[in-house]
Amino acid sequence: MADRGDTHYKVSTLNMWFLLSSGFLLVATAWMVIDDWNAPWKKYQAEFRKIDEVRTRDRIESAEMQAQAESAAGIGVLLAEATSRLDARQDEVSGVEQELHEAKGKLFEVSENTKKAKQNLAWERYLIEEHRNHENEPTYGEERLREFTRVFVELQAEEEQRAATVDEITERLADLNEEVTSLAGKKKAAQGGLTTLQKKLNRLAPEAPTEKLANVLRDFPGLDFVDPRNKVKKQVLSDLSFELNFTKGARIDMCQTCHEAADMPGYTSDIIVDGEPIANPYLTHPNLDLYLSAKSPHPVTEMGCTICHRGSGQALDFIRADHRPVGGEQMEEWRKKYHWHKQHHWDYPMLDSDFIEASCVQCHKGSMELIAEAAPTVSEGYRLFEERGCYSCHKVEWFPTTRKPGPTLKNLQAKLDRTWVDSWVANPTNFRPSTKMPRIFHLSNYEPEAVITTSEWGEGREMLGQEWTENMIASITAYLFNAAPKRAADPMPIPGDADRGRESYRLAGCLACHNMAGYPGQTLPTIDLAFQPNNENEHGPNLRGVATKLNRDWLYQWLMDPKAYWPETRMPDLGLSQQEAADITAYIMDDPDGIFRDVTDVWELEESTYDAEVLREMAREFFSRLGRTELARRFAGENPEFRWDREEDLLLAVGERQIGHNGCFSCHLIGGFEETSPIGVELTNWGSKTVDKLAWEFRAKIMAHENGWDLGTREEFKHYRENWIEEKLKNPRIFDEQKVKSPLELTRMPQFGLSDSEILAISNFVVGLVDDEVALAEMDESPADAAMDYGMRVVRQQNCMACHVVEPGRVQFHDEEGVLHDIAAEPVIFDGLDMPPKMEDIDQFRQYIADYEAEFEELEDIGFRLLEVAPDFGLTGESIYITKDQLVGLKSPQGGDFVRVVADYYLNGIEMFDPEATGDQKYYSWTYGPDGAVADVDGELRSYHDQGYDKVRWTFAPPVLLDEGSKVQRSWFYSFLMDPFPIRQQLRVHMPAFNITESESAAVANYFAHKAEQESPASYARAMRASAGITPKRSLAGKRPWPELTNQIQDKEVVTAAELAPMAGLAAKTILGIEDGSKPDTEASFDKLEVFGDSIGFSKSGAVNPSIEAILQQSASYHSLEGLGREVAFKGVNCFTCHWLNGTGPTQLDSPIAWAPDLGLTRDRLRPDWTRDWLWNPNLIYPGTSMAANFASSEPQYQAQYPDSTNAQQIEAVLDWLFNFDRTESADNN
Amino acid sequence: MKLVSSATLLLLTGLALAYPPVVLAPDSASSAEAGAVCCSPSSDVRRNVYVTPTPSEEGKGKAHGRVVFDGEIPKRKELSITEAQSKGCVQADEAINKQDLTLLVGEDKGIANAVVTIAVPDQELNVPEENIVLDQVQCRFDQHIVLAPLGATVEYRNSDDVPHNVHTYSLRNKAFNRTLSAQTSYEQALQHAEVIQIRCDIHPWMSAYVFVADSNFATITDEHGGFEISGLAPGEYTAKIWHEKLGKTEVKVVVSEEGESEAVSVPMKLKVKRSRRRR
Repeated sequence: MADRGDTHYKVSTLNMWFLLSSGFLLVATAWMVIDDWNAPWKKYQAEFRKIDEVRTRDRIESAEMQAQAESAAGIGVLLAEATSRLDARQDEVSGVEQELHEAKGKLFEVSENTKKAKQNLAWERYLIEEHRNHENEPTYGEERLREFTRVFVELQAEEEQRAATVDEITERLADLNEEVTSLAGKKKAAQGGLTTLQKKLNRLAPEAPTEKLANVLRDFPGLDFVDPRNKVKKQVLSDLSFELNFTKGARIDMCQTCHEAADMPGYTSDIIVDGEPIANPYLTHPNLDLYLSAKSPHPVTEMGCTICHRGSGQALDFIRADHRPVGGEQMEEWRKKYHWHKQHHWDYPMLDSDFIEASCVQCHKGSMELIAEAAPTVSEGYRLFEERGCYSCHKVEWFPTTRKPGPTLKNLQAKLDRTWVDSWVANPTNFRPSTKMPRIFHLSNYEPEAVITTSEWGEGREMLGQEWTENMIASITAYLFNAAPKRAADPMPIPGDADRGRESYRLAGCLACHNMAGYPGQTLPTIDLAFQPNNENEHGPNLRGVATKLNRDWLYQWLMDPKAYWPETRMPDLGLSQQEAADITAYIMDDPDGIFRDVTDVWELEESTYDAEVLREMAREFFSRLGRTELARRFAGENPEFRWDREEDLLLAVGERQIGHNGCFSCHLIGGFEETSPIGVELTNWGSKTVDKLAWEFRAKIMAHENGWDLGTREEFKHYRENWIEEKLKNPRIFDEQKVKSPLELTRMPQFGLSDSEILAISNFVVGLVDDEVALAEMDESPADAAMDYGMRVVRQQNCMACHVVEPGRVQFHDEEGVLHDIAAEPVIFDGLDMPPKMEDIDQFRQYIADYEAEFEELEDIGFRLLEVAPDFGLTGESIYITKDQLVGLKSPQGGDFVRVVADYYLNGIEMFDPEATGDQKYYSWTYGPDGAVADVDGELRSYHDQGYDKVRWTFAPPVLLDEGSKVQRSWFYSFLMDPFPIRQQLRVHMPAFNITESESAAVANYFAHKAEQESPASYARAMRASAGITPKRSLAGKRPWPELTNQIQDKEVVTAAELAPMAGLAAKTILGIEDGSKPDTEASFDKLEVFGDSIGFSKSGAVNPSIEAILQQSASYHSLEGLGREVAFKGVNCFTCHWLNGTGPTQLDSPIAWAPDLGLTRDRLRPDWTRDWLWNPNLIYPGTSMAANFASSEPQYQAQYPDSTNAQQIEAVLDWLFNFDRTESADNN
Repeated sequence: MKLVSSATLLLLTGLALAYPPVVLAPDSASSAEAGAVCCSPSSDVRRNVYVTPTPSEEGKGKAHGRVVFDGEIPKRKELSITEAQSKGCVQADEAINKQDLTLLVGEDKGIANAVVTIAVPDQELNVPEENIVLDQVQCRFDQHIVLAPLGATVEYRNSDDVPHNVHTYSLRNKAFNRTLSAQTSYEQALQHAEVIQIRCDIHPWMSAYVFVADSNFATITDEHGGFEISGLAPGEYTAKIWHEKLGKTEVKVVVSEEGESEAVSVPMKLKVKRSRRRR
């Protein structure tokens, strides 16, 4: 082509440019390809393939797989034999097959004919109907219709017969083939695991050269987009949105690209590769039953990773994922190895492993109680947040508790004197080291010698921390006493007796929530339980020293009616008589035992003093807006409304402001502050606050300096949200360090004196208070879960566990084959002692054994009484004995410590210590009556020292509440909590009237009902397996109800889960899972287990359904058996020898130890199913109870009252009577 | 003071071999014919021994001695039983027996009703074929201590016209609590060696013990605290003594080649309260 000369470019130059840019593009592309090929995550995947290969080889060689292979081989031999046997009978088989073929053919023919006949019949019927209608001949064609019907019916019958023949032949054929088919199936099952593993190994490390080559090509740079072995694994969580730079999108977590084994079981540090145990990112996530796996409540496919762990889910790079080093050393190491640094622009860095539970809060706001076991730290934080009153200064929108945690101060004139309050406020722990009241004064930002301010707004003398603090205290107490009316408590109407009070104090229930433990460092010369703190008796304050603080009349009135003084108190109304209250008051105030007047060494009563000059300066700070002139007027007394020239008036004015400033009213009700909002920062979204918004002030630098850290390294490590709050809780005033602030700017948060673990717990909770999308998408608790959570909270808040066991203790042990068992049980009494050991934890228990052996004798084995059916060991109430070596662990029961206090008193009296005496005489036992006698409710003195622990426990101590939901009607329980009354007349301790709302009381009733419902499949499964071992054996057990069955046997066998499994058609693991209450197992397989139970004739009263209040008043036998039941009850069993009836005492009115609950309550109180089980075998419900099995004899008793009756009929009759009788009936009518 | 509560268990590790004939139970003529015996309800001691050694050649030795109380003789007190409590127990013109049998110390300080057992290896227990009957008569158990060999069967009986319940406080044998209405009974096979306390919850004063012995060489002390166990081969033995209130103790007994042994005196005393452990 000719050069037209009109171009503005030179081709050669252009070629040069083209060459350059092509070269650049080529290089860039190559670079891109190489860089992509070289991405760090691919190395992790390659490494993981190596690990997986090693593990797969190990597993193939494992004993289990070898055994599988052997067993498959064994079955293979059998299969071959069976096949050859079948081949030998080939003629027979072919014969049957031929027969089947023919029979099917005939069946087909007949069915076709039948169909045709049916059509013919329908057609004919139509024609006849038409004819009859048109011609008006109502009887036309009857003969023909009958004929057609006959043909159809006959053919139909033949079809059925032919079909039966086909079935029969098919079955015969299956029988012939059965052996071979089942063996083939078994072989396949046996080989299953191994085959899968071999396939996997082949995929990971193929033998064939072609496949090896293919793998190389797949991973080759530039080709690896086709079908690479290395793939980014991501969870796209469209339900969970994520906000980044103001745009919202689906949350995408790619963590599993490197953490490939996270949701695969079995990748633990036990796996050794190249001589090193494998470590992250190759490990399995802990507790797959709870996290990640598909059947867990947190499947990774729905929740992803960063919801809990935080960090950046879309980063495929170690640093950009915002990994977090654990500890400074690891941080240094990471810096060197990965050039690690914090991601300053990522708001949610990955959480420290100590803080991972914080994430639970975002979804579990409505189930914080339910997750207590799975997330102990953050649940503890949630409880402490309430217990220490954090919520009362710091609003958390959803926090369920709103009451003011501290006692009301509105009437404190009646209770306390001012000097005591002065001294208390200055430092509460001086008086009571265990108090929950935080310390407000004399903290680090008020150093006694430091200058707080200078007077006259910076013109006069310097004021020091010490005097400033003294004036704060003086003004606050002045205001408090001025705001409270000068009203003394009403005087005690009758005098009390301290000796009698000692007994009442112990038995009326005070010790359930209060203890008298010694001060730190004080060793008390006693092993009396009342002096040992435990979870429950620390609910109320330790009462040591209280007599030095309280007003006697006030104490009496408080005991009689706590709500009158403090409407929101948790102290329940104990229902004390005037005499009891007066006696207890006398015991506490007169203090014959040296407890209630015993104060700490550091406690001193010191009246507060004030200095008008300091007060004026405070007024200037608080009232600065008034301006100098107005203030000067007031100080000079020229403003008639504010005569601040009078020091008292000035003191009160400043006091009011100090209370407002320090937030006393947040926790206490104080006159004049009823409506004031709390002073703390709202924490509802605190966890979302970015780190740069936290006022670290100079703290981080000071810390670095103190620890000799290089700023920017270790300091950076410390610089997270969690660390800030930990620092704050350790020393709430810490961020004032080296700051210059005016008095009103100084930090006000008080010092709670928390332990490190408490600080960690609370910090976890607060860090979890976030407001991002996830947190807002609140979890939808099931109504049952919500009810459980609410109920558990009330049970905890009201400390029901002090008196009642709500969860049994558990013992973990190895059996002789080394299998671990975990069963609900309680230890039996050691020989020669009269109380069983307390079950706290394994170390305490081992110490107990060692002490016992040192004093008595070597123990060969240790007994535990079963508290629920343990099918591998026995029925409820039976004992098992294990050696010390077998014992692995103990879990303390929830609640019931007060039961031990009561039982101990009845059996032994109070152990008293006589400081004057020596030797054994140092200790003596004391009861109110002589010779160890206790004053019973009827006022008589009786001794119970010769009774057993079980007897006094069941008779005189508060009842256990295990499975209470199955026992009582929910509506009754609710009303009882609202308005309790004595059920067991013989108890000195009464069920108190709790200060709870209707909704709280309903919550408790609901909680127990739902708990019973949830536990019922497990208890069914356990009882069913146990019943299978009871002679007569399973198949013969018949339709007898479960508790009756347990009465009839002395011997039984253990049917293991493995034995039961094939019969029930379930895996042994599933059966054990249901027995242990596993939710997935129960949901998946309980129905099947129940069907099997039915098939062996097992029957147990069904699950409690909380949505239906099943009341038997209208039972099947309603009124029909009532008369017979009455006869059996009155004249046969003689129930009223022991039981009360509608307020009338039993025949044994002189023996409170023989008394039993009022049967008049039964129809409103108990559930019929439970009552029936109870009548059959009381020991199966409350092991050791005094209630005898009245219908247990193999020859039914009470024939005179109910002729020719069985035990079951008698029980139904008694139930009919109990649930239907006239409410006016009394025991006297007998 | 309660040293032995419901929970006492005695670990006798004796095993089985046979020894010569003996006259057992020195105090009670009736118990010479081992088996179904019963003392009159008025007897102070009310004990019954249902164990017998098997006759054999070498076993002609005997252990004997006394269990004596160390301390001041405690005053005997009657049980407090009101008329209302014992309604229906006795005829209108009769009075209920209020004797307290928990600790019987004679003038000579002898402790009655202590059980003495000697473990002898390889002995075969002589289990009576008939049931051992523990009856409830006039709202008292007709025997206070029943000394029965392991494997025997106890028949709890109610001969009264009022109902009783039998509430056993045992740890190794299956504990039960059953009502026995008038004139009925219930049998229990003794499967573990231990002491079982039997009480009636309706009548709180009723209490008896079944001592399940793992040895044929056992007896109960008489009202002077005396005991004698015959049929022992020469050798050294440990006699274990159990008392419901005083607890346990033991003493060495040497039977010479001639079958003689020195009478032993075993002191027992009330323990101080402090021995309990509660934690």
